[in-house]
Amino acid sequence: MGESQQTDYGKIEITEEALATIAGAAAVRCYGIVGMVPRGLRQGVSEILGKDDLNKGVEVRQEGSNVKIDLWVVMCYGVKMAEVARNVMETVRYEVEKMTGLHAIEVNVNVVGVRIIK
Amino acid sequence: MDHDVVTGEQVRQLFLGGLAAIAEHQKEIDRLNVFPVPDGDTGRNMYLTMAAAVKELDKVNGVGIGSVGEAVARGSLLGARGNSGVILSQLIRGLADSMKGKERISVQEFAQAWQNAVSSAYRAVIKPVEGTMLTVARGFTQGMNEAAVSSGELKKVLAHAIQRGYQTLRQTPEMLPALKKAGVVDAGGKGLLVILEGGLQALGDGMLQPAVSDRQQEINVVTPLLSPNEAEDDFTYLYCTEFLLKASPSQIQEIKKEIEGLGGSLVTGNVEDYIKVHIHTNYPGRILDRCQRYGTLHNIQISNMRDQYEESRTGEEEKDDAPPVEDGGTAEVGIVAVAAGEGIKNILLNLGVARIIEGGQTMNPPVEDFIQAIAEVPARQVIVLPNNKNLVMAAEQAKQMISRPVEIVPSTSIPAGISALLAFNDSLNLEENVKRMCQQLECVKTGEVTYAVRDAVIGDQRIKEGDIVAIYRGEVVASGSSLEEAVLALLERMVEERDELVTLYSGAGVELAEMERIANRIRDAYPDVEVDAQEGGQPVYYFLISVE
Repeated sequence: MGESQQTDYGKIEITEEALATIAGAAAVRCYGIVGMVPRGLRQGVSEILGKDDLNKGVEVRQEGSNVKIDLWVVMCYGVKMAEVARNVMETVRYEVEKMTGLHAIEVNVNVVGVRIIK
Repeated sequence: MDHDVVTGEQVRQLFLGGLAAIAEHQKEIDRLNVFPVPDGDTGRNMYLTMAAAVKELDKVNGVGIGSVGEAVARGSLLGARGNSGVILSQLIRGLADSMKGKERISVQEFAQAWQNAVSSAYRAVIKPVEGTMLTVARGFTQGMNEAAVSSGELKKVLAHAIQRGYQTLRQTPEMLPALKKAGVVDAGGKGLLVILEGGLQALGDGMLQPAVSDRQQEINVVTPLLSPNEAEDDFTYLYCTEFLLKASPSQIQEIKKEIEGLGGSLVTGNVEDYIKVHIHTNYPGRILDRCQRYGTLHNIQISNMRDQYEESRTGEEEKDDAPPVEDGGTAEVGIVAVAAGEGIKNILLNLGVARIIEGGQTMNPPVEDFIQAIAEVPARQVIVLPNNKNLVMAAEQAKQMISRPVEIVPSTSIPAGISALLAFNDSLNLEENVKRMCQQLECVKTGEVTYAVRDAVIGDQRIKEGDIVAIYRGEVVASGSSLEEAVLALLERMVEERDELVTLYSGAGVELAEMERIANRIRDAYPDVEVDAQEGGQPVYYFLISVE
């Protein structure tokens, strides 16, 4: 699966995995995000994830040149979640569109945990 | 040398001055904004955040630095806008934490409070990007601490620190290519220094009340995005309606159009020739009527969401005791895994495993255990993770004896099984999941650290009973008396250049501190690799290790 584009020289294909990595990399650089969690994972095991595994906790669905992205994140305690989430949405959308030329029509942020940072 | 203290009144002045300054410079800062998203709103976001902080100052009880700090922390948290605003609010929160309950603090303590605030702000992001507001805040804080050593005068210390902050700010384009390309310094960093400068100025001549009141109107814009009660009382639609519709997936768009006007939160999806419909509506009957034109209805569930909400409020305690897969009855695919050790079992259950078969090395569960566990899984189809080389066969045998669809993902170790689980996706079907999980298995290398049960000679190695041995791909790669050395020797064999993640699962009897020490040595030895340490509690193995 992936978006395929025909050019004069040949074909460009961007897989959903590549998109997920871009989205994940953008998300983990956002302030307030302290973990990414794969879908279905329950509270308390977010630590199990290698923080470098950038496409865990990201799901991408492509519909032509439109992309829908879902992120499952852990936020640090004490931030305004709605705002951090909005920053993540903006940043992820911007990075995905900048790097791939596709349209991120949806970026959903699911906060599955909160970690207390001391 | 003057020895100032920092009072609540001074902090108030700092904030008032800071607000006035950011108000004046916000447009200029907006223009610098190219990172992380070049949307030109950093100045405005910081202004709104500061405005919300200052607004709370009116409500302060008392003049102590603790209560002033608390007020600005609360205000900035609620009013935080944008990335820069969130970071600013965290810095303020960090400062306030160090002031809590105090009447006044020394300048040295104030510098230390900044230090604490910046360190905790850094911990609130997985990958802090250098060349941003955090970097500038750190530069400023270093300046605070340097100056606080030689001087106790608040204004002098602040002035020096701001200068240091500007030094750092000038370096930001070198640290962050996006800034260099745009030919600007970091907007958030600049905003922070503008605020601090304004604060310093206000401490000097106590100016600027008018600037603040001019902005009063805009300050009122700052309201929390969502009132906390909004979610609770919002029952525009009362019934959550879900069912399967046996119809051609090609009709899905048409069906969506047919019913979308009748409710909200519409979600549809299809599995083979079933379309799953989920909608919140006040007219479940009409939804069913209309959909029935397209095919037959199955598994209809209509629930009253207000009742559910009431139940969730009153029944929270009971819910905690519910089995790990509370909605397993409707799950498509359930997972059974073999495991030993409390920690490992918990990890697996948390990852969504429906049933655990007790067992592993030296205690192989019989085929009946597999059959029973598979039968108990509340799902239509089952995936089995044997997590041991010797159990793959038993799992296969169980599969032959059961009529429901069962697939084996032939994991030969616990870490490999866990890794495969992370590739599981409950929205995919059995086949796709098995494919994904098997692929994941190929990416994981597993090593084991255990002890020798008898004397042996392997190759040129002489192993005594009780020695610690490290095993990789069925081969003893290290032996001796030190657990730490065995782990490191094992990793030397396992870790290759493209590896990114090492996960340690400590066995029963391995102290947490020891695992942490070993994990830190691994971090030192492999700086490019992420190291994760988990308490597995498994018997037999001191450590199970996966490298991906």
